[in-house]
Amino acid sequence: MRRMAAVAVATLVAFGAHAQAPADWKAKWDEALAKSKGQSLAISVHSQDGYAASIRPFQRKYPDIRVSVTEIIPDAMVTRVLNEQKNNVYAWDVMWASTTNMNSSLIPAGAFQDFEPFMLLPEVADPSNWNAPDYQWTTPKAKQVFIQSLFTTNLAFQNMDNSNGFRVTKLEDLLDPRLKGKIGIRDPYHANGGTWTFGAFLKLGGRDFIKKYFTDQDLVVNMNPRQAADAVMRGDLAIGTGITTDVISRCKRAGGCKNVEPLPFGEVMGTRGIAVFKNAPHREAATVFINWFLSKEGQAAHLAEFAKLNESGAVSRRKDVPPPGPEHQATVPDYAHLDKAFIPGMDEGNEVLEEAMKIYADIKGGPR
Amino acid sequence: MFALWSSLILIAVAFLVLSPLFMLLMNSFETNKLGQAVQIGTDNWWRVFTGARLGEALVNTVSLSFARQSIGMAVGVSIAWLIARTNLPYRNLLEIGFWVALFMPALPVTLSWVLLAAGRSGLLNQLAMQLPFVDKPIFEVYSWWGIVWVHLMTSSIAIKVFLLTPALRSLDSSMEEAARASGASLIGTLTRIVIPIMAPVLVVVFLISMVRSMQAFEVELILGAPKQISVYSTVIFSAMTREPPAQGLASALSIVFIASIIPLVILQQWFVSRHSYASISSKFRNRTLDLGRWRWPAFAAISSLLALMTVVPFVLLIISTFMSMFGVFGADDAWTLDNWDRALFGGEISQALSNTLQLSVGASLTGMAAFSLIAYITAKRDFAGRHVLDFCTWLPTLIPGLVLSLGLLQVFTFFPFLRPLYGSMAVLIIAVLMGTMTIGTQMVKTAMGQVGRELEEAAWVSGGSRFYTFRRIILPLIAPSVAVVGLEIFATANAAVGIIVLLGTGATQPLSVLQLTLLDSGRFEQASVIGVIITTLTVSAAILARTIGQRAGLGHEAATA
Repeated sequence: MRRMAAVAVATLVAFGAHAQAPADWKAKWDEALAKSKGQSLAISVHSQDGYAASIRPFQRKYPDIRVSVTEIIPDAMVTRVLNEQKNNVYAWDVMWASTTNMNSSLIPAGAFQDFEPFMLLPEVADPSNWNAPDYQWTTPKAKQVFIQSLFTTNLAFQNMDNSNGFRVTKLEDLLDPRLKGKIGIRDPYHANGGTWTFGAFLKLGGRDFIKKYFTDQDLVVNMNPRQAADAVMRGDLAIGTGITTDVISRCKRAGGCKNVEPLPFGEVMGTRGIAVFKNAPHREAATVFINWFLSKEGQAAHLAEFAKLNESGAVSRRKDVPPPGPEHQATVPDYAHLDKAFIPGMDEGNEVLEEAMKIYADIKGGPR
Repeated sequence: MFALWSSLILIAVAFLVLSPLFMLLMNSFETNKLGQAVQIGTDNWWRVFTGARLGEALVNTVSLSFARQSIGMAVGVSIAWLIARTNLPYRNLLEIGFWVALFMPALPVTLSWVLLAAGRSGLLNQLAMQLPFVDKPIFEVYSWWGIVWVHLMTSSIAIKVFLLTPALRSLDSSMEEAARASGASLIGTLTRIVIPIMAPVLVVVFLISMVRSMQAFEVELILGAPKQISVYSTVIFSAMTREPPAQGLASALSIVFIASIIPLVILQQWFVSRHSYASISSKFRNRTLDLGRWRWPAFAAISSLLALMTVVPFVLLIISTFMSMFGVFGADDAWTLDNWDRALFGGEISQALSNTLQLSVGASLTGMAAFSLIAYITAKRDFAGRHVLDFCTWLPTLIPGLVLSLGLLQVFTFFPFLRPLYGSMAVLIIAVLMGTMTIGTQMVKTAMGQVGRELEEAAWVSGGSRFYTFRRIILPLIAPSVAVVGLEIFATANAAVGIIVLLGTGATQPLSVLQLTLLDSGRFEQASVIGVIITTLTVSAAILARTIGQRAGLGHEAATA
């Protein structure tokens, strides 16, 4: 809580500084616009549907900036960029992805630079335009990864067809012997949707619960996310964790998965964030992109594109950009009670996640 | 002049092969977290040799590889011989069928077998359980034998047929005819004449297949994880994808793997140097053996196997492209055209397709030329460094794709003179060539080993230069093998993910990466569309190359003319 307060104060001070220098931002903005023409902006985005598509409206609006969008799994991006920077190669400008790896691997390695100097437009820099200003940055240690989206997501589902009539209604039900060997998880040694549920369950039930869960229930590992979803949808398993809501929603929309329901607990708060790499080679193009992307126009365009390819989670922290439909509206978090939420893409959540994974490794042995 | 060019090629190949290895060796001694200040130590090596479950993974790796290679070799050699050397009905079509099996995308095919044979939900099991005397699932794809089965159905048999058929076509039929005239049976001719003569090729194919199967991880990851069956490659994959990536540990594990395979490579070199037979001479004949009454039974057996390997998964692959949710057959709105609509008109495919074609055509053309040249130096000439060159060509295949990608990333960012290439299509082409160097060079080399030296000598006596002789005599004779190598490179480039994932950018990303993106989003159905496109592209190229080759009269006609 103290950490959050520190971030809030720092954020307000920073935004205050921007608000006090309107003339300064205009000159900088004009300069960035002028210099960005002809530059080749290198953006790395999460290799999931909706990210790359969200950049296309920017390309249409600023045709003078050549944009190269690389869709890459965040793990691979970490390996890539840290090895490049080790050899003094700075090939990337901006990263926009789920913030877990950005926060836990790239910030500690010094891969990013301070983000605030890139926020020029008042509508972007003004904290009153954003919900949950305490949750602006992924860590109080560095203002480098700006959280542009917070959204709730259900990652654990139950198929009643394979539960022997037993319905899980509370966390403790997961320890029922009838579910032994019928709960699916994903790679337990790696941050993913599956291990996020470890963190959520640890936060809800404490260490004793999670130890019993790992020890007694013969959890079944499915490495591929779709394989994990299929195992629950087809009824091979009673409970599946690390499954994206999107897959189940599509199945239901097609008229299937009638007996598959989200567990009524263990929600996780997803985070999408944007950052500028250290020594970004096209600083001005990056500035133009960031200010467009975080503006009302940019966020609205992003949500519209994202919603075309995703069933949920098209949510912006901007107050003036509503979600594009009821299914997306349903994933808007309760901004007033974020302190109760498990947010693996921020420091506190990441610590819980790492603790849960460590408990698993201690019980089951280290990664093979 | 020849020695100079050979030396330059040796230096270039050695640099490309050894520099990533050197980088990996350096990594293996870095004990810091990636991105933190460098600390040198032996922790990674200590962890390799004291890893709690590494022994179990090693046992699984060897036993799984040995099982599927033994079965794959026996079945693959027999089928390749029947296609290449006998009057088996529709043998050309059957050969193309095995190409299709080999070029099918591994992940969708594996998930198709999960749909068919995974526990109670497996469609085959559900059908079987309709029978009155069956009350539990018969098949379980999530098992040790399930992994063996899926590998046999995807690559373990198909690659043998793919690689051995052209080599067997280069066998002089007079030897088989002599055996048959002396009263040997078909089986006796195969085991006592064909296999001993083909031993050098068989050893190379077995070793390449063994290494590839020991590195395979996609199938093991999906089918092995639920039953806690891990293999060495999944351990390396796990280290590389950890957060932050444990690339020092992955490098140490890879180096141990390489070191353990090197004796086998040396053994193979020793064996081939003592068991090399030229079967294409100035008296070359290529007649097919008559199978007699076994013609149609053999056809029925092979076509049934082929149907299991291609028709079943391909039909499921096609079905998945038209389903709202693959495998959910009872849904009200189960069928859709949306997946094709999104894949074809979503705005991403044209650039990715163009990149794929640039990558695959560029890599296959460059590879065919480069590997032929390297093979010529190692197989035919008395160049002092040829054994070193040959040894170097084996090394890239021993490095797992993702780790090789890391090594290349470090090489291309470390050396200033290579940096301009970083991020370009050229780097992806080099990566694909590295990944296919062993199979490419060794297959061309063994084909060259079948060409009698008297053909070259006749050309030299007639005034032909070495280059002229290579171009007009050797190349036409080995064209079928070179074409197969070109196809293998083409197919590898089309499906490449691990080896290029750390090297591509948005401007160079091919279809395979687009497929990965869709899979990462859980959009298996749209990824299957890309899988169908990649398979169609590869098979079309294969048929085109074969048609052009036949029309141009490449191959043995040159020798018999």
